[in-house]
Amino acid sequence: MIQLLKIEIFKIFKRPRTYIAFAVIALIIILIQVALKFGGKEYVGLMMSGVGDSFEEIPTEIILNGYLVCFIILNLLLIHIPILVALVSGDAIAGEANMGTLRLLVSKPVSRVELLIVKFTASVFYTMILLIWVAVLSLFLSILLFGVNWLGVARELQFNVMESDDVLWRYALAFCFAAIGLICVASLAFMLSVFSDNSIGPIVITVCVIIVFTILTQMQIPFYDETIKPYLFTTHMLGWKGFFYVKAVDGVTENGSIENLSAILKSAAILIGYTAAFLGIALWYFKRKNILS
Amino acid sequence: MSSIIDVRGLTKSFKEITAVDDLTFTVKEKGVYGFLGQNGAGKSTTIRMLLSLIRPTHGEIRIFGLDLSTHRKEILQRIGAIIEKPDLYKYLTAIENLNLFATMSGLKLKRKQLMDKLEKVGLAERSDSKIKTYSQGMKQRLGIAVALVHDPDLIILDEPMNGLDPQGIADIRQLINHLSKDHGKTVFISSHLLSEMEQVADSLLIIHKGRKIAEGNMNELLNPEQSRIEVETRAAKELELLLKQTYWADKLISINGEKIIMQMRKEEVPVFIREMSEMKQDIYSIHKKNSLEDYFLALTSH
Repeated sequence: MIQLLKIEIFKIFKRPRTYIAFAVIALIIILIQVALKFGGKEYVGLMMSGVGDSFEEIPTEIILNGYLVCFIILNLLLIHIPILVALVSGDAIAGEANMGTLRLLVSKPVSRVELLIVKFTASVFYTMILLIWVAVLSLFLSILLFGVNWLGVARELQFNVMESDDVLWRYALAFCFAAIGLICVASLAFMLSVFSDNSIGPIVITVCVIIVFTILTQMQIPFYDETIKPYLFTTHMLGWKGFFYVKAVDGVTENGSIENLSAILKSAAILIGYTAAFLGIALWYFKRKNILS
Repeated sequence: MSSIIDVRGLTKSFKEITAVDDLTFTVKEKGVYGFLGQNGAGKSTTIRMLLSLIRPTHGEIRIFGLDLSTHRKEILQRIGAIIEKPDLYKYLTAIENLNLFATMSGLKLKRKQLMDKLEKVGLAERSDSKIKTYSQGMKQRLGIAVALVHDPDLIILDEPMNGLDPQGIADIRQLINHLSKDHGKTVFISSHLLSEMEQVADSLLIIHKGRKIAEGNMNELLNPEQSRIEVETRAAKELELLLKQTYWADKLISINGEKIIMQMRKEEVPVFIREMSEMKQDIYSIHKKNSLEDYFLALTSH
């Protein structure tokens, strides 16, 4: 099994298209960092406009530190990374069918279940490497460029402040949560890949699902809040933000606290449930699939 | 000789279409077993069922005495196959492709061992070139190296000569003979190149519209003792009437335009020519017509 996994990972990282996602992410993050480096004052002004007078005297350099830059980047990027994940996961089985190599793989002395699990694990591995890349560029490069200080997160009716020594563990957990969300997307693309003999279909369908679900998630229509949104995996993928929402007593934030941990855990459980369902369907179908390509 | 492949009542239906219909055959150990049929006859579907790529609708497949549905892994461990064209990973080199499939077969080969295997198919010099730079013939040879990398007992080749130039076809023919005669392997090969099959196969299975129409030893099927003779004459009808009055009447099979088809033993052919000459019949040509192609067309043309 380990040997098979090594083969799959070797194949993924030997394909030039794999590196497109890494290049795209690096480009976007660096562009955001450059924009904030040279035009951060306006951005911070806009962000702090609804917060109140008490923060007016604080210099931009303190507010716009590496932690905030990372938060801004993740806010912008974590919706789009799934599209890049779909590029590889959607290609996992359908790409082999398209190349004509699937029949060779399936005629080898490896069970179909084993093959599918190995391929999915390799897709997860790629997703993790991509996420680590995001973490390195968005968090560590931002810390290097902007330094560290307390993190202020603006919400609808409040502004949460976290001391600088209370932030790093939140990012660690946020990235772990993002991993669960991205694996869920990877499993969706992977499942669609099993049904297709051409990788374009699963990739396009996954991207369309993400776009439609994200639009529905962000729509401010009360009817959808109760009926549709709780069931969309894209709604729960935003759960990472919960690690930056802190408890406050008399307007003072409580160090080391998380406002609603149970909501985060519930979202994580739902995402894991979706992943299991997508993978289960993929396994059920692939075991019975006639390899005609 | 024990049987390597034992297929009983194999059927595969795709919705309303029955691609393979109640197929039963046995492949004995060693030798080359030719699998013939027109396009769409069900050859590839049968081969895919033998390799567990397609699930049969009905029937039983036993290979090496084991049931394929319950011993898939053990069986596939001992089979090497090329299914249609040998599609490999174009973005990988030949040695990377070979290593990858060797690993999938449970082998851990060193570079030297992999190079030896590439040397055997004449690709050692291009071992580090990506497959996308290979010609069709080179891909086919690499496909064969991949199929044989784990030294299988049974080799299944589905149209292995497709897209090859005459030299490539001759190389494959030589390789099949070498594997069968020198290494005692069993080769199950499908092809529509009948003249090639005639040269390599010891036994034949012919299917038509998913059903078996002939099976057996090549010599028995083609019956070299009884030659089919095509006689071209000036007036076939007249000759037919004449022949019907002689003992040659039993040898008459059919008449087709100015040609008469007859069946006779080899030593009877010069006697027939002599007698026709004595009867002052104008014979323009005489052809022996018991090639595999003639046999195949006779079976499948109706």
